[in-house]
Amino acid sequence: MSVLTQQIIKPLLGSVLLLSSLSVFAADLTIDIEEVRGTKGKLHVAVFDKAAAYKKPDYDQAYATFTLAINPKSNRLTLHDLPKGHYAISLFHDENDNNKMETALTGMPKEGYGTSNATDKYDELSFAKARVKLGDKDKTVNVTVHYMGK
Amino acid sequence: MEWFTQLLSEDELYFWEAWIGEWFFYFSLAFLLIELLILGFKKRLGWNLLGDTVSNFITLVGFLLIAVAFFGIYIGSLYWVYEHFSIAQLAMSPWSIALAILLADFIYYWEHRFMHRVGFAWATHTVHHSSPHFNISVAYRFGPLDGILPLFFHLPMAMLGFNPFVILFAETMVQLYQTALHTEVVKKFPRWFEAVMNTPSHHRVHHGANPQYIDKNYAGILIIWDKLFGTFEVEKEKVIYGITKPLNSVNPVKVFFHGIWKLLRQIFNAGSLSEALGYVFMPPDWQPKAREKTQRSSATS
Repeated sequence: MSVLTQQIIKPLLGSVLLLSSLSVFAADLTIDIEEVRGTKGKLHVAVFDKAAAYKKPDYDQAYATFTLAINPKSNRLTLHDLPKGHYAISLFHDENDNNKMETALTGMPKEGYGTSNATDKYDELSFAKARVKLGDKDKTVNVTVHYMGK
Repeated sequence: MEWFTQLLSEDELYFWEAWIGEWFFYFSLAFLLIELLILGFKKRLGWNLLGDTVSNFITLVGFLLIAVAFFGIYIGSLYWVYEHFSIAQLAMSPWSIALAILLADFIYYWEHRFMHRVGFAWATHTVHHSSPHFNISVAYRFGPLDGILPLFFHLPMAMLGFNPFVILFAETMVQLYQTALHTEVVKKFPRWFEAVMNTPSHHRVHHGANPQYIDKNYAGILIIWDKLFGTFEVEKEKVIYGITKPLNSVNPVKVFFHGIWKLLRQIFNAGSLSEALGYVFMPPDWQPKAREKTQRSSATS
């Protein structure tokens, strides 16, 4: 019996539990990155589920991060079977390909950047304002890349 | 020379302005600490001065809340004039910015004179003058409308073709220079400097309630405007800071609203419409004819 419990039932139970937990994986989140300037460099995209990590922003504490080569036609990316919840997307266009977002002495961003729900380049949204809700259905979020002048 | 003609973007200028303003504020706080230490060392540090200092920063918060709420209208109006009623649209370069600062300094003189000599404008600007002390924190003591009235004086700059962000930048530079003058630590600069530039000494005079110092030295950066337009006075007698009828309060609510409150009371108690309009648009020392007469007769009797 103990062998049976150990070898068969537990793993079975485990996989059932895993399956049931899989059922909270609800939907696909597609990120459509718009108005990318030129084809130089890469896009660094972070999906945050925690306000503190978003605020910094700390890419290491993000739910997921991606680096994309730039496609001249369209830049989109899909995360499959994401748990229900709220996500904020933050990205920058690393034009000089040094894995860093360049800023001027004054703090002005020198490379393009984008945030979910931002409507203009001066928007500095809190996590509560930047996040999008993902429920049972698949969702597409458009994120516009903004560039500060020179 | 190439440096002077390089083109700048609105974004760059905006970030420069914010960056300079922020660092200036930190330096001001550090400087205030030095001023307080000196006063403490001289045994001139009292509860009134400390209360006054705290009050100054509370008025700053009130001023900023109003200014931020008004910012959209401020920049929007400048843009509207710049785009529809301007005779040119000047390129944004260090050259045009330097010219803008000079012009903004000239405008500052007249705006400042207006703030002192027109009733409703004095109702807000009196806040800044109602401190009996003089240190850098007084520079941050503002009245409710201090961030709104300057708009009307700077619209002509947009008409001349200065980009709204250049105008804001120039306004800030004049304001910051002016801020740095609020101190007793610096006595006098070399003669040639005092002759051309506004200095702490000239500005102490401006804050004086001594009869010969009232409504003098309106300048921002250059003192030459006061010399040109006949409002210059040299610092000789020891300055007694404040307004002619002292406020005698460090209560931030009283400090912030006392001017407006006084004006509203005058309007409410006015005997006629012309008297009410007089309080609003005439100089703050204006009195209706009838009252002048009764005062004169009571003085002679």
